[in-house]
Order: sequence, then structure tokens, then C-alpha cells
Amino acid sequence: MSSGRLVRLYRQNKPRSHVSWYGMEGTALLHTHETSSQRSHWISIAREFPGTTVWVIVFDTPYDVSSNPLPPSRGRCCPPLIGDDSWLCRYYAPPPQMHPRFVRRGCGTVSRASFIAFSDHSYIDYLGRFQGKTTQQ
Amino acid sequence: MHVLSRFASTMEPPRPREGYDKLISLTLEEQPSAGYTRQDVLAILQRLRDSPSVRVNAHGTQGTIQPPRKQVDG
Repeated sequence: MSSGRLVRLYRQNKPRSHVSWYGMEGTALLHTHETSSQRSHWISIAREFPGTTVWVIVFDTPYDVSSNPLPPSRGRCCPPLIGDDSWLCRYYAPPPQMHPRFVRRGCGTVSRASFIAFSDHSYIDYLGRFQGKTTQQ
Repeated sequence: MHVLSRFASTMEPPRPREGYDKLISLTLEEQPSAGYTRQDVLAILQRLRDSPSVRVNAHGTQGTIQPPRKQVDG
């Protein structure tokens, strides 16, 4: 399921859809960015902003690991949630809260969400230009 | 399991010619077993920042990253 469809389902708030997203029931399987063509879409968008660098993190996890139930303390089959609260709030209102069931589930859970602000990972070039532009206005 | 198997079969590993600048791959052993802490995430980002550029230009050779354009005041 694409992330776009996941967001649409969330917005529609279908109570019995097969989506597990902050309190909704079911199972979510994300497989975005799995092909070169899917990734090229986002890389093309990044290239529209001169000076932007594209970084890729591959979570090289055998798929059979994700099929095995994991104890709640082991959430490594999923990448961490990285984002800025203000950014997330544009997509998910109210702001995401870790639902108890979401935490408890074995396969496909994120045992702990790490919210990292953009300022934490110093996209100095981008932020400098963005903030400079903002202050000039 | 069937769906996961299908995902695995359609997965295309990233290649430098796709146009990204940096890439790191985290093996299962490199992924924290107790979930990601804030320090884990920042360490991964730092590792990515320190990794060499792998960007390949249209001719298939490794190129350089263009510095960001400077803002022109006024």
C-alpha cells in the first residue's frame, strides 16, 4: 500500500479498513520506494531545489524477519519515525500518539517513535537559505 | 507472508545512477534490537552525512555535487 493511499484511508477514517495507523485497526504494509521508478519521482522533486542533496538509508532486513512475531521490545523490523511535529501535523490531525495496541503488536510495530526536528540533522545549506529568505521578507 | 514475498521479489536495490548523493545500508545486525532511540537516529544521520558521495552523472561516471546557489540579496 502506498503512503498516499494510507493517508487517504486515514483521512477517510474508515473504521474497519486494513490499516493500522495510530489507533486504527488492522495491518499496514508499506512498500514505497521499492523500485527505481518510484524513487526517481522523489529524486526529481528534490532536484527542483538546487543544492538539495538526496540521501538514502536502506534498512536491509530479510522479509522473513518481518513475518516472525517479535517481542514488544524489538521493533527493528521497521524504520524509526523521523519528522518534525509541524510537518506531521499537516498530514495527521490530531498529532500522532502512540496507541497501546500499536506498540504491542509484534510484526510491523514501532516500539518507540523518535521525532527528530529538522534542526537536529543540520541541513545547514537548506535551512540557512530557507531561514535567510524568511527573514528577508 | 505471501505479500512480503511478493514485495521482496519486486524490490530493486538502489543504484548510484538513480541520482542520489549518498547511501548507507543498515544490516539487521546494525539495527537496534530494542527500537530506535533519538541517539540512534542521530547517529545514523551522522553516519550518512560522513559517507562519501556516490552520485553518478548521466555519463555513468562519478560526478561532484554542485554547491548550493547563494542567495542574491536585493
